[in-house]
Amino acid sequence: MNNKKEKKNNFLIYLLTPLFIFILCVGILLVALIKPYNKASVYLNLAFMDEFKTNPNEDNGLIIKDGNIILDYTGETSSTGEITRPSFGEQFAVLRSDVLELDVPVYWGSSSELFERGACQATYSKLPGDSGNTIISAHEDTFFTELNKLVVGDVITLNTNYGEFSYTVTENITFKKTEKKYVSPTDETKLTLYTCKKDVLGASDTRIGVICELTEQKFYAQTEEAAEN
Amino acid sequence: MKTLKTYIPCVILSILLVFSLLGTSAAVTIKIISGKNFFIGIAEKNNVVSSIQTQLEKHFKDEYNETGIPAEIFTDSFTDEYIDSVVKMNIDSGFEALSGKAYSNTTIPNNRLEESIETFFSDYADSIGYEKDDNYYEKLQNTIDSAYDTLNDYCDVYKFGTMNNAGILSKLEKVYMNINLILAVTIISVLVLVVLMAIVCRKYLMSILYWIGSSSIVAGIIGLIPSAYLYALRFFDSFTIKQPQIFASFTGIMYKTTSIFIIAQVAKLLFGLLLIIAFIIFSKRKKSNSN
Repeated sequence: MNNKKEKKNNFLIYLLTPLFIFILCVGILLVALIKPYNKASVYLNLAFMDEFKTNPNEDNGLIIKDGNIILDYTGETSSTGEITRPSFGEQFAVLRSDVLELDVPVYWGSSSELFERGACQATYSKLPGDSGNTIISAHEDTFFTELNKLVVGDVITLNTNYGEFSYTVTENITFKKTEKKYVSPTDETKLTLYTCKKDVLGASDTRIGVICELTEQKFYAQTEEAAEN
Repeated sequence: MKTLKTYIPCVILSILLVFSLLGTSAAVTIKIISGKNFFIGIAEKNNVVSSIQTQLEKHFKDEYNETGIPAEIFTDSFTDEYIDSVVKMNIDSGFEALSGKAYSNTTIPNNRLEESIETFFSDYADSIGYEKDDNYYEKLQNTIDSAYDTLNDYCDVYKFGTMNNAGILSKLEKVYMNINLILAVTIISVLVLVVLMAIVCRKYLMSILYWIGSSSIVAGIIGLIPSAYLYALRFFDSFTIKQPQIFASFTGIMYKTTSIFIIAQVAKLLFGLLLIIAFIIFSKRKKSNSN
């Protein structure tokens, strides 16, 4: 009798063990795959978005120009220099940070077409290298998906064809989209980055972002030659 | 499975084995699809050259209203062979970037295209008496460059250029360059776990068939359910990629990758079932011998 019971128990254990292993593994996998899944969906969004990056390209009347931004300038630099003003729809900078894990193209001006290609700088804000508030935003499901991970002390670099500008995050901000406190011109020189707060149910009215202080600015001595190189 | 002392370590080792088997099948799949020829083959199979021809024709016809340059000035010089070579060049550039070299976005010169644009510009300038000054040559060069850019964009069916601009290729480079190492690590981890299982089950070595079989079945099911779901429901067809040539190439790659992964999962599942059957047979035989 005991033998029969033991046999039955053993059979149940043999049967249920793979199920137990299956449930455990699925649980672990689901948790472990959240980050890679998010990353993969961002990469797919970025790579296979519908618009083309033609130079120059006409898109609903908007002329979009992708710039060949200098990322590895090795020539002479100075702390002051001349700012080159881009035209509306022109890529004039690349924003980089170890946390964002992407090289984000930055366009001058905002429109839905430009937001599909990169981050956009509000034209009423100041260009990097100029005194005042440099305001840049991007979609949270593509280029600024990791923006919420920036913390005080993180370094952000803006490379343009006239110079390289380094910033350090000084404050994390959250504000309503109608609130203009953070996205208005200021006398203080700073960089403001923001995006929509992730919201499961449609577009969010809340914006999240960071304020960064300028820590170093290097204007390229020979901009034109550098751009040609 | 006689005591808890062997049961718990075996469960832990089985869980680790499930992940190692999943890792191995994922690495094998990546290894198979990460060849340049695989991408070229998918593009050819989906007849992207013909799609690109149609799209280019539409693009230059749409542009006619703004530029005044008839579409044929461009499209007549885009032969199937030329477009095919530009598609392959883009794939080459992408894989070179994945191999650690700089991404090159140069294009293959097309003398017929350049001559066609030059002739059109020259004839037009002559017809309106426009002086061929520096401005003329600058506009001419811009039009030629723009035509090459447009062509390149349409022919970059796997969007390597976009991925390179966003710094994605440099991230993928780490996986691409180390795929053999990743594969070796996953295979070695499978072997190590099997050896550890053998040590734990040394008193009843036959049970190793059960544990490996269970892990293999679980790994097979875990991999099979999502991939079969994606494949059966034609999940990638729901992607909103408007350009037909990119859509065909992207979905082609995704479905091929999924089908390879499915095959690997089915193989694991069958292997696991085989081991479980062997375990049952050996157990019964052992019992009848001992009786």
